[in-house]
Amino acid sequence: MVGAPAILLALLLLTGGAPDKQPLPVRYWAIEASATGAEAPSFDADAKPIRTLLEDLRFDNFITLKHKAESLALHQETKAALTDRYTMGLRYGGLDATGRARVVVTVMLVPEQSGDPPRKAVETTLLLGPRGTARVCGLRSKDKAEIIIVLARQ
Amino acid sequence: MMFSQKKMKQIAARLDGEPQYAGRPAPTREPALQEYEASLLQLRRAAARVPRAPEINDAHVDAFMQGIREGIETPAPRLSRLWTMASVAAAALVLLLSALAYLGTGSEPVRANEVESAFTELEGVTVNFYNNPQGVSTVQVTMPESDLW
Repeated sequence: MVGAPAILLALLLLTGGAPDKQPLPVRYWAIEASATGAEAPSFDADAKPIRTLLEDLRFDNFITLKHKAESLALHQETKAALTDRYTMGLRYGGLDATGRARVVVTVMLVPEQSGDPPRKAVETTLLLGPRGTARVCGLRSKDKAEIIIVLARQ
Repeated sequence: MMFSQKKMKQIAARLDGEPQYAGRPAPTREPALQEYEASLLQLRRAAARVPRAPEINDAHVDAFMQGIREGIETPAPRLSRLWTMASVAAAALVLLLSALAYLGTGSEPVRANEVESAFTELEGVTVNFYNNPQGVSTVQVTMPESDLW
């Protein structure tokens, strides 16, 4: 009678309670980076916390288009519109043997010509350690600006 | 033989003190009857020495009932306690094994970030990836200026 709840708890620990079954907390930024010729790079308020992740790039102006904390459910895709042309999907695939989180980042580009289906501008599978960060650079935007996506595991 | 048996009954009745034989003389003193009478007397003397079985009288009933009441009120030793202990021990064992399985998964050292794969569906676009000195994994997309916009 005492053992039944304990065994149930143990089974929950072994199945639902295992770390790789739990949602993965992440935070992401979509930054529009441009080169203005300014002497010192400028970051808006949301981009300042990640300036060390951006200042090695060839741009000097960083404006945050989207900044959000998400909890990624296992094997489910979380979608977000970054601009009117780019959408992003994040899918958490669990932990590897060393505890790194496998996250698939898919950025879709909506064609300028209406009627054509969106196409994958990039799809990448990242292995992120605890507090690990990654970025996707080079997504062309208007006026020679680029979209930089920064993904940080919480 | 028949007369002998009758005489034996008379001897036994006289020894039992039955009224109809009170004051009557003893039957003929034959050796067999004398031996019978002697055996009866010996049997009676031996029976007289046997202690009497205890009798339960009214004075004993209260104590007797008290014992019954105490027996009813005292909880019987329960086998379920044994099962409870066994159940707790089994649960503790399962929890221990679960904890070992749960905590034992991280035995390998955590490795650095890594880009496992990266690709694009866009023509003329290339994708590369690298790690910068700060340990940040970077996926670099290179897009031509034409066609996309």
